[in-house]
Amino acid sequence: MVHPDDGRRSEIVMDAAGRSCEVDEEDYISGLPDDLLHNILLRLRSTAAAARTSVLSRRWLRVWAHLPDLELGNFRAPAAAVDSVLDSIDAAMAASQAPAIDSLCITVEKENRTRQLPLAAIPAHRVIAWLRFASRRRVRRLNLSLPADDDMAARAPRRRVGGEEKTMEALPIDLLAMERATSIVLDLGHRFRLRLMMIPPPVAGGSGAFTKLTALTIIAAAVESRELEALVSSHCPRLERLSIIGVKLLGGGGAASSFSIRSDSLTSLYIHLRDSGLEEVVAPRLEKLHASGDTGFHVAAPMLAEVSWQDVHRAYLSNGVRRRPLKIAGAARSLRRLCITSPCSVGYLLQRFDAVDWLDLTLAVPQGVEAYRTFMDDMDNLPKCETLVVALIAQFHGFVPSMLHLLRRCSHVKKLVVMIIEHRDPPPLSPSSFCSTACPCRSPDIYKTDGIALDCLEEVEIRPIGSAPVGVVAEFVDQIFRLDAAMLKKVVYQQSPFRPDQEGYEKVRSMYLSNPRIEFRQLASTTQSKDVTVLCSVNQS
Amino acid sequence: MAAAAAEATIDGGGKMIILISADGKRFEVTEAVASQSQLISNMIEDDCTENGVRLPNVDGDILTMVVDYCNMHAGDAAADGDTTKASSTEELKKFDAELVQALENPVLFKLILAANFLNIKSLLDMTCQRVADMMSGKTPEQMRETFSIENDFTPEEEAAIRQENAWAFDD
Repeated sequence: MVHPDDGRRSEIVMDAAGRSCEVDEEDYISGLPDDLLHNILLRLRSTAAAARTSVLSRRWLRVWAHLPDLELGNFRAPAAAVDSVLDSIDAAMAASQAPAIDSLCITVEKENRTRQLPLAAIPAHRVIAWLRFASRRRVRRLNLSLPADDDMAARAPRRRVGGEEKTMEALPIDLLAMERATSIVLDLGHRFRLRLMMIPPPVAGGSGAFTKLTALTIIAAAVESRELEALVSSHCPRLERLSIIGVKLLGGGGAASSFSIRSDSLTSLYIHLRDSGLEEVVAPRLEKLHASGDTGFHVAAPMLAEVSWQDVHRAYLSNGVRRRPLKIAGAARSLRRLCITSPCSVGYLLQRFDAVDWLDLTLAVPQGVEAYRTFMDDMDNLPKCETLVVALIAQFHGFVPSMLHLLRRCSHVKKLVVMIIEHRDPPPLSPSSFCSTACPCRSPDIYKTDGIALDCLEEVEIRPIGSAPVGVVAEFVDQIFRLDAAMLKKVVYQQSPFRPDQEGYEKVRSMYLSNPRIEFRQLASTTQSKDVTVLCSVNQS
Repeated sequence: MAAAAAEATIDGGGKMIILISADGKRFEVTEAVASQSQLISNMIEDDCTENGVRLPNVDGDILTMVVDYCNMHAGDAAADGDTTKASSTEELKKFDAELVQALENPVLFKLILAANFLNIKSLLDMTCQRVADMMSGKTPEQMRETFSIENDFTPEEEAAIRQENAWAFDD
């Protein structure tokens, strides 16, 4: 090891003004050992940038080539052609001399978010070669991310347009054995079918194709459901986190593509499937379940502590959406966290659990008398919760009655967060355009607050999102102060940063300015709040 | 021994150990401060710090900086649950940013070698990141100038290497 002190030399030179100053001309960096130069070069987060140090001097010629992590791809210039990006990925792999790669990250980004790359722009043989490289160099962490195919966006609403499946099936990519891999993320941009059937089963007690794998994420690929089932259930004995997002499942052999996930090691499952045949998840260690998409399934998971049942297609706005319900077996009757944004299975999930520390509901008060009654009945089974987050669509009928109905059932709640969301459709002229005079939301009884005792309630946060109608917001704030809540210390009125309604904010503020228990907040647009962020994506979708 | 250490902590700082630099300068620091160095932490565990820890690879001026850094960061692990932590975290960030920005060619690399030898991960990360930031966005010519690297290639050799790694120079 060369110490930079060796042969140190400085010179006293005159600067332009004739003063002497010390200029240290020693090359200290080249004296660092290779592992420290690697530490530095890896922080450039680009293998290309690291490779450019090869021309610095002889000392630097091959330093980059032994880097244990490769970060490839990434369009730099907007005009960069895809082909040259793909070429550069291949060339970097060819030049890399590290016998084993710790981290291989390949990102082929879109030039911008609105333009996608045509299917043919990324030929299958390229991706096959990258995965072969990953397998041969025994990567520990693999992250491959391809941009969405440009036809995909147009196809999305009509999923079964002829030819799509054929296209994907015509271009199979094999996931090869990676016995050192602990984490694999594959986003195939709806371009390829990911074939998992070539994997030999693991040798008992020895190393196998994916025996070290703890985290697997597959995004936007077509996968044979039986292959996925076999991979997860039999080939990944250490798999803890599985994410299946936007994956198209193909049914093999003409049978319905129903399949199940069985894993003794799985602790977290994030699943967003289209046209799924997922029947069952059996996972004795599963703690976190996040399910979205258009399907429900049976879950047998005794350790379950967090459940998120999401609806990314804003289906919570329309009452008629049919989804297969989610059924949970074997789990305790209490959860740390339950988050529901889908109208389907709400009643079941609320009744399934007796206690939830943090309950998060995004709901629309449904139209029509019958639907409204069912909605209210569902809410009757609200589990005992400490924190209740409710996001309700405001311009439908019965916002305040629904909230009062909910509050009647959550006497243990300590913190209540109410998000009042603007409905994006044109607002109705009057409530009568939503419901008849027979609707329970019009009964004067429903406004009675006598029966509502919130003995534990300490804090209420009200967040109008977008331009929620000021009348509704003000009415709700009024009701909150009429409640029997001896412990209530604080009401926070928080203006959302997304399309803030300044006028409404000022109006409510002036109405309650003299109330010392109300605190007004304007959030900056860089809010860290998870809930607001979620709603932001809902609003923009 | 744990009890003794706890007692000493109460009257202000825990058991002391002596660090001795290459040029013989002595630094008295608490075990808590010194254990941020994985190397010294292991020595403390093996009970071989009685007669002071000689660090023949580290000069006194560099060890002064390392000890300063460790003193500033000693509270990191202990301060959990402390309500003043947020402000002290801010102060630390400022201290780190100022320290690392001020580092110039010789000192920066000596500090990297010291952090590597003493095995102080946070200091090594910070100093290596500083070098990477100095490299980032620079052409090879500018890098040579920044770090006083002498180009020992002939123009023909350099052209050949650029050709060989053309993919990296394209964008």
